[in-house]
Amino acid sequence: MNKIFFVICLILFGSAFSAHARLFDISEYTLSNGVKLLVVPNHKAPIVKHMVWYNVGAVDEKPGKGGSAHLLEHLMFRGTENIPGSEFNRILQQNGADSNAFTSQDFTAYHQNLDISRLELAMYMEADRMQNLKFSPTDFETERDIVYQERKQVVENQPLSAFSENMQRSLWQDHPYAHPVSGTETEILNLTPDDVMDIYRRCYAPGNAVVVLAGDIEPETAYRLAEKYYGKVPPRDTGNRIVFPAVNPTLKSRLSMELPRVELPRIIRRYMADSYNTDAGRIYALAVLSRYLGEGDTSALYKELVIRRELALDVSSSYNYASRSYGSFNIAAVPQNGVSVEELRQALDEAVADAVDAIDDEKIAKIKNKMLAGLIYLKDNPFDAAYIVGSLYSIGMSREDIENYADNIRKVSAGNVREAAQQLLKNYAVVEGVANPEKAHD
Amino acid sequence: MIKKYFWLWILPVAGLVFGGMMFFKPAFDPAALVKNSELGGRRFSVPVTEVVSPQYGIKAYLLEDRSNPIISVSFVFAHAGLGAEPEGRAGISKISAAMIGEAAGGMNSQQFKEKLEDYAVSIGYSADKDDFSGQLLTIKEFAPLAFEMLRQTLFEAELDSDDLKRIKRQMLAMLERQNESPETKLSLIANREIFGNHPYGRNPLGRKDDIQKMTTQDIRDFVAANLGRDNLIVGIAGDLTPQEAGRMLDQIFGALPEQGAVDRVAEIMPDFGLETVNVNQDLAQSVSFIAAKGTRRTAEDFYPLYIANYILGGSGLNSRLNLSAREKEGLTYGIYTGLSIPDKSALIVGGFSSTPQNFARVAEIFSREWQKMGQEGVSAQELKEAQDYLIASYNLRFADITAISEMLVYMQKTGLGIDFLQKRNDYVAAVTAEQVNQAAARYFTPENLRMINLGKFN
Repeated sequence: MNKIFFVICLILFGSAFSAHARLFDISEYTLSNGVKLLVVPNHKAPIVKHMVWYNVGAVDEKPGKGGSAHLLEHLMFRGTENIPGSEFNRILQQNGADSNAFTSQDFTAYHQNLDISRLELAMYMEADRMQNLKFSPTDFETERDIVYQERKQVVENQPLSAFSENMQRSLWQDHPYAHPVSGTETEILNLTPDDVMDIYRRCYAPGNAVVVLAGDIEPETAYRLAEKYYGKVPPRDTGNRIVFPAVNPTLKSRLSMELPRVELPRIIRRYMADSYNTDAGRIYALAVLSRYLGEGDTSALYKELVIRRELALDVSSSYNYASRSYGSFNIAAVPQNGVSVEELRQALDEAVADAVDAIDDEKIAKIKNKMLAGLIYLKDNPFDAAYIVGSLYSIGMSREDIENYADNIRKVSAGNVREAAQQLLKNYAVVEGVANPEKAHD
Repeated sequence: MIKKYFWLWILPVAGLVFGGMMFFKPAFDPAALVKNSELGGRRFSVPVTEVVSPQYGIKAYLLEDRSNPIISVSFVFAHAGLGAEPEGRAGISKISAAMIGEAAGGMNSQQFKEKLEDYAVSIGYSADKDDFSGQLLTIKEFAPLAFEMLRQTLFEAELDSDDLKRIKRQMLAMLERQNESPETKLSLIANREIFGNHPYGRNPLGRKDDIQKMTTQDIRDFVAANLGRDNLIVGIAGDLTPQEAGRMLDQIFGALPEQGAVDRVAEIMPDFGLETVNVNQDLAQSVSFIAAKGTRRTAEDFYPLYIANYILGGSGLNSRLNLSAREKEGLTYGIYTGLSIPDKSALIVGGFSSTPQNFARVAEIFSREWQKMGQEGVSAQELKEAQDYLIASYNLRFADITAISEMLVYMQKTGLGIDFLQKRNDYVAAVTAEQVNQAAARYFTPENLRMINLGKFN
């Protein structure tokens, strides 16, 4: 999920972008079998990023089967009826592709950076594994061991990752976002081939897939080739989608942990916030709020807590609205040496309240200008464009809303931002986590 | 009776039909798909121009690209990194990098950063074990303003004492945080073990005691002594003509002193035949860092070794090491090798992490595959697949404007030549199996392999 924050930041890093300009110039198609195709032309070099996004993530797993969506992602590299074993990797590699995949709570994506001359090959192979996955029992067991090792490396060896997992549990409770994408250790070790094939059969179907192409290709050509390769995959019913449980907005909890190998305390406040799917009208005000409060060294909280009062080494905020269910809004701070966690917590409360009180038209106009200033950079790297467009579209954001980001930010008023802040701070669930260094025990 | 004859009759027919289907079903042929693709055969040229500024004669490589109205300028001051830090001032290169980019031109830190944000200009400095480097990214429309702000950072940095106090605190906190990640902690241990008292053996962030006593005068001294025109290397990419680039070079860098950092750091080639070091720490996974002698970027055996490394551990999931330790046995999430070539040394490095019960087995596979590469070399098929990848993936490096300007700096710094981008694929294609195997035999030996590990060991 961290990459989403990067994406949002990338979007937010951004006057030279003229009014009504489209952010990416996306062409959107629906193939005969339901596959969606998005094309972002970029002709700076004969290269392309090819991505296939499936609208399935950890939230679609059955109870007790945590990690099955992620393990399936790994097994997608273990062969099909036509391209057995590890041939997928070998063939793409020999053709100069940088190929990988990732799984989040909401989606799973497979992608290759390629010379344009190899795009048809990659389309053939992705369309093939959309319908013909076939792995051996031995490969299943080996891949399960690999994802077990992945969890040890990425979560358990990194105390702050483990802490973040605990915060997710505290905040989301009965909601599927409470559960780690990797699954727990026990869940991973008990997964079976049927568990992963259940997700494959339920969710890996044309109607659930979005193909994104960003690079040296014209939309009409892309459409014709997509129909040639992906259009042949027979459509399948993907069944009913998960209905997210109601959340408890009154939850205000605290989590304090002493963690080995943590050298400096951290305070992280994670709010359940509206996303594009829970209240699309509010997300732009929340994005402006996040930039105003804590994104960068000129933000309100940084100026107050790091520079003026010298209580924090760092303070930051971030906002993720690209979620199928609720999004999240984070405020994080690291106390200065000699400043207690309690002292910084109180100062953070005061600084946030003061910053919200100080919101006015002039400040918000300045923030919006900064957010729009660098949007033209998004036209540089086609690989970044594919990722941003795919992650937003696959959670349900319309092409128009992706393209009209700048206009939607321009429409935000100081009143919108103040109201969004007040709502967020009073009416949404929040967990405040404190990660402390482990105390020395005698 | 009828049933019996039915089966005698139907089975051969069914066999013929099925066989016919298999025969006529188009088999998957990756090479034919690529050869027949309508998207193939595009011409792509990347003409790099050498720009010489009119007034001061400052040279730079430029790759013009008018597809998007943005400009990236990357530059390094060679030998002005860790090795240029005076005794008792370990960390001054990084502190200086942070401070000159913090505030300049009569503006305080907040005013300077507000202005950068208002015009979407990005200016940043950093320092590594070899060099002091800078980076500018701007929209063409605001390029005059951006160039002026960059000039101000070099000549009119504010060096405010409150800013310094804050940056020192942040740097000290970063020093502490290094112990939070097993990989970072291990890399510090490994640097010390391998390079000892050489500057490469130091903590790249500096020393706590030294950082605490640093003053703004130390920064002024460091900048004055190390940032000059004779150690400046510049790469420019984007929407800028050679004439505009030349004027920009004079405007930004012209007033620098003629002489910059003097190269004082000695070459070092450590002994990698020493015993494995195990450092104990209670971790869910133990982590390993591997180092060996490698070769220089412009050495004759560079490409042969580059390809041997690619096949052993540089090609991701398809490398020999990943196929053995990950894909076949499921012992680790990843295992790799790569070439690391700082100015004063040349290394092959590698690494993996694994749970304690698997760790010895992964280490054994690493050693086995290492020695096998040295003794048996590579097959013709492996060489061809490696060359195919390296050539077919070549254009991917032109996706990002900042990556391009940085590449132009690297080409100059390592003396690859202005036509490198045109010739590079030929260099790769010309490598023979014999050359790869000779290089493999030279470097992948049991005596040239050092493991340094952190975690729990049986």
